[in-house]
Amino acid sequence: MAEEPDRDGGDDLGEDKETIRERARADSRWHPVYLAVVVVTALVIAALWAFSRAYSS
Amino acid sequence: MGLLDWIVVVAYLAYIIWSGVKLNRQSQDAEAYFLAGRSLPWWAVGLSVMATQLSAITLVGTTGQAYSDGMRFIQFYYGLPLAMVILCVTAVPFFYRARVFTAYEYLERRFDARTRSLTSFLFLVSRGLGVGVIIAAPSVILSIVLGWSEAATVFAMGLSTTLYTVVGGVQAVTWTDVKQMFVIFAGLFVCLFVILSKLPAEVSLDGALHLAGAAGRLTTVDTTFDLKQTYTLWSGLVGGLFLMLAYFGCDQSQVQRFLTAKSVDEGRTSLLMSAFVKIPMQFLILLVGVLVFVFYQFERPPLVFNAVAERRVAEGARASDYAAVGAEYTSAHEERERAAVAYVRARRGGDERGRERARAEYVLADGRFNAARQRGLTLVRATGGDANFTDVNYVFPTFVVANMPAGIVGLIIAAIFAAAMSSISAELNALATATTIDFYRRHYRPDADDRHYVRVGRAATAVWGVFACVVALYATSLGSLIEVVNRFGSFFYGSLLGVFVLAVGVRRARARGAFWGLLAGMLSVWVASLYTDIAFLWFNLIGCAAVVAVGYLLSLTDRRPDANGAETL
Repeated sequence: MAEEPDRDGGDDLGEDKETIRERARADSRWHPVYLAVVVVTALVIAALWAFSRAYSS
Repeated sequence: MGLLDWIVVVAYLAYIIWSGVKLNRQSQDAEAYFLAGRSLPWWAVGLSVMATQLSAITLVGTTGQAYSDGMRFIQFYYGLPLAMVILCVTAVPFFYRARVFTAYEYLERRFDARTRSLTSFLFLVSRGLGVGVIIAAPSVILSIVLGWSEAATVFAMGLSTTLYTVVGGVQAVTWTDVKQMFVIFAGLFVCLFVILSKLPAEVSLDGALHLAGAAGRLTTVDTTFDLKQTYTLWSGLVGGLFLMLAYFGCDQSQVQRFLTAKSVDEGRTSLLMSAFVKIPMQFLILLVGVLVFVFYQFERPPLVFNAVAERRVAEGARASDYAAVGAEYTSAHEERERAAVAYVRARRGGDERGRERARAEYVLADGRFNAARQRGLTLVRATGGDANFTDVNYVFPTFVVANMPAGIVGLIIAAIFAAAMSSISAELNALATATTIDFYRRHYRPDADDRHYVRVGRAATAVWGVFACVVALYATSLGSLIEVVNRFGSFFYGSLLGVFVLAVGVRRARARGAFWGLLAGMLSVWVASLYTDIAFLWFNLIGCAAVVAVGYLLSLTDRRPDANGAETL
């Protein structure tokens, strides 16, 4: 049975493991930004809810 | 529309066509024509992402929806930011680093040519018809409100957009999208300020919002869990999340936007721009509609905003019934106006009990006014034989033409054109890319030179542009066609998302599972739409879940390896 595809996809893109690890490190720098998006979205929905409550009651 | 308005609209059209066509020189090879040489800055791509999503019917329809139903539509977008985060982790790096032209090209690397061709074909059929509807819907509205010929409006929008998209490729699409977003924002802000300036002196923005709130127009969060309700917090967060994942991650018209970015990080930033801006922008659009509602507290609005439908009933066999409803409507409006003024005054100077009483009287008066309007709409439905008749899409253009000053009418009509053209150009460019790359290059001429594919791409754009105009001309006379196209789109989106989830997130998934899973997903959505009352946003979740379940189970029975072993999570 042939091997399953490489989990990192390195074979397909012709890149070595070090490049892939470097890229994963670079990608991980985005995690705080993603968290910020989720937090800001929650705050925006809460603000809209408060706006709605303030003017509807 | 006066001379000044015409000058504004014609100047807008001339400027956009010129600025798109002049990018011809930068679009001479395939990567430049289809992907702008992967060279565009994040802010231009981000604005293009938003411009593509914001069609004329979104701009006109949601303002009308805010007028009649309030802000609850905003919940539709609550899942968008989370979808953007998921796509930044998955689709953006996967597609960008795979150096593909289309999202479907990736599916061949992961599965096989059959899955790629089927998904690309579904995109072509769905979007080919959909772009016709994108042209038809505002054309019908503008023809009724402004008295323009439907065919002239279809060709003014469709062919002018086709012209600059054919010549300038994706560069023209993106840079005209940027300019069009500025026109749309300018139109919205000017409209907002003009409405506020036209309210009675004693009605401030705060007072206007209290009137809207009392009339139930400011609901932005509805926590009811009901699968039959279209706009709730849950349908927005869950159904909306899946819809946005499918739209931004699997629809070539959006995937192509972030593939034109300079780098993976710029592609990510462009999507995150939407994550931050989209909900506030939609709030602004809905706020315009809510303020139109407040404006019409102090001016009598038309009983029916579609003038053609109103004329038909006013001059038909039930003219006397309609006149009676009209008189009742006028009286209800006068009563509501008095109650609105009393409520505003009570809020400024009255005591707590006086405010409560004035508010309760205003709410009652608004209820009587709405009941009179519903009777008018029921008469129109009975006379026209169209049980689904609604005039929501006519509210905003009718208001603009009747109440905005000279020049501003032109600016807002230009903004409606901008919203339509920015979506049409991206769709045409994506249709041409999928036709050229997924079919022509893949199956017919795999080894032609770059300039040949640009020529084919240009021809494909022109053919799709003409096809869209022809569909639009038919769609203007066949209302049900629009519904068919939208329904077909909802069958397709969640299922397509399921195939990409299998491709990116399920290592065990195989080509046979993906292909049959896709068909099973579409079938399950079709069955759900036939035998349940579930709101359409949930179809995306159903389709996706069915594809992943069927695809995974079938893949377990398949012991063959993948063809190419493309990147997975």
